[in-house]
Amino acid sequence: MKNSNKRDVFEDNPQVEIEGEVSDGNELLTKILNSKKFKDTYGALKDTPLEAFPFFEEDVIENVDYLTRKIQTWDIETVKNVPADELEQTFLSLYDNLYVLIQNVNPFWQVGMERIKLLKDYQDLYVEMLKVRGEL
Amino acid sequence: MITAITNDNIDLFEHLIPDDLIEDLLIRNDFYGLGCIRRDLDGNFDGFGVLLFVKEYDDGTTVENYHIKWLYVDSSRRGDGIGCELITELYWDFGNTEVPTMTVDIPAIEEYEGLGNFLGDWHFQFLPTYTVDFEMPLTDLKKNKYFSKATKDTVIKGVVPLKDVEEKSLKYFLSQIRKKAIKRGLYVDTMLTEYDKDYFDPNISTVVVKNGFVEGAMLVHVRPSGRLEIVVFDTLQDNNQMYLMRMLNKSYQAALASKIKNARVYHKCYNERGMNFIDGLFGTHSTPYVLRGMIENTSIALSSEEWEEIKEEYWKDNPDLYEDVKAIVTGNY
Repeated sequence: MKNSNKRDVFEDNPQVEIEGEVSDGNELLTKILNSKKFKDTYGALKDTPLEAFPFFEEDVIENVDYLTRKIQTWDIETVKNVPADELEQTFLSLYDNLYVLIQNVNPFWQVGMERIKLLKDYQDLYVEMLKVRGEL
Repeated sequence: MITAITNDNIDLFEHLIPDDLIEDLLIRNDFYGLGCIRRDLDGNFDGFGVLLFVKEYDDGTTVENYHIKWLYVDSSRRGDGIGCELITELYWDFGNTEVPTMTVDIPAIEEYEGLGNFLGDWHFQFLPTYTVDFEMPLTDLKKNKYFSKATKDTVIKGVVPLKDVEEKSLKYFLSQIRKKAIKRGLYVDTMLTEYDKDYFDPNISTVVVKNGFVEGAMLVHVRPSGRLEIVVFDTLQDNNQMYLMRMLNKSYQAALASKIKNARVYHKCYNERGMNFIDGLFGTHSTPYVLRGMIENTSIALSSEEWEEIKEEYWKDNPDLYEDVKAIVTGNY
């Protein structure tokens, strides 16, 4: 006997059909985003603050690059004069982005350990800066 | 920033750690603490989070597991990445060793859901189970048929308190117990190798002495919280188990006489059989359910390049496996 209460899970998650061949991931993504079915389903989310797309590692790496460049422009005088809060917050937001990168892979694979090493290098740099400022 | 917790800086973190674990940090050599320091509102540096872990040995020399004992962040500073900073430091330490696993036990109650989710994000995999450690209030033992008749004046033959025993003969006994544990593949407590007489309570700990030799011992360590931790409860000969009951009675009397506040009997059991034995002696107790989390150290596994190098020789040594793997890969099994 057919169970009429049983819900078809695919009804809410329509599969996007791609026409023709695609050569790389970016092209596939553009095609999916532009397809009618995708727009019908997810288009309503566009104006809401909800994040409709999964996290992309590139965005986080961009943040890391930005914060790294910011730290690299500081000379010793800047390090001595920058407000303590700003110094701490810059490093903390850099750490936050690195945590995302570490969590995104198995931390004990080579790439994971390399990312933890990068984090540790910045932690050491922060301690060195505090020493220069005479706070440690 | 992260710092190792030592005797010099423990003042910064004391408010984040239970008394029992502070004692462990100060006394035990296999116990380690990491602390996170941040600026407070006045701009001074203060401790905001701690992570304590123990390195578990298999035979007293090789570390076989890291066990996280305590991860705590000041309630006013949660969500600031303090836990992440602590755990990445631990991962760096762990990933650079050849220790195969890291574990954690979390009480399976709603209050600890957040901690479980946090460690889940850091790739811990959880399984529900229950602890085999034994713990019950000392006052509950009054109902027990073995202890109900004991008074402090009852004389028990052959059993003496630890303070009346020579250190030399007890050290010999402990070395024999250690050998026995290694032979049976049981966990070896480091306090057996680094024996310090002050660690065990001189009155509550009891020993059976026969012809000048220690035949059995029940060594109890009293925790600041009132927990009576039974570290050693064993006899040299397996057929001398009647000594266990005598020592239990004597220790029970001493524990009652010492009037420790909030006294609870605790014994770390390493398997279900051990727990059932202790359960049978003391009476049944409730076993709290826990979520046991584990993460494997894959940094010690072979890299794909290393595998390519040894592949041919490996298949020559294990031809049966080769056939099995080939069958699975081709689908002809």
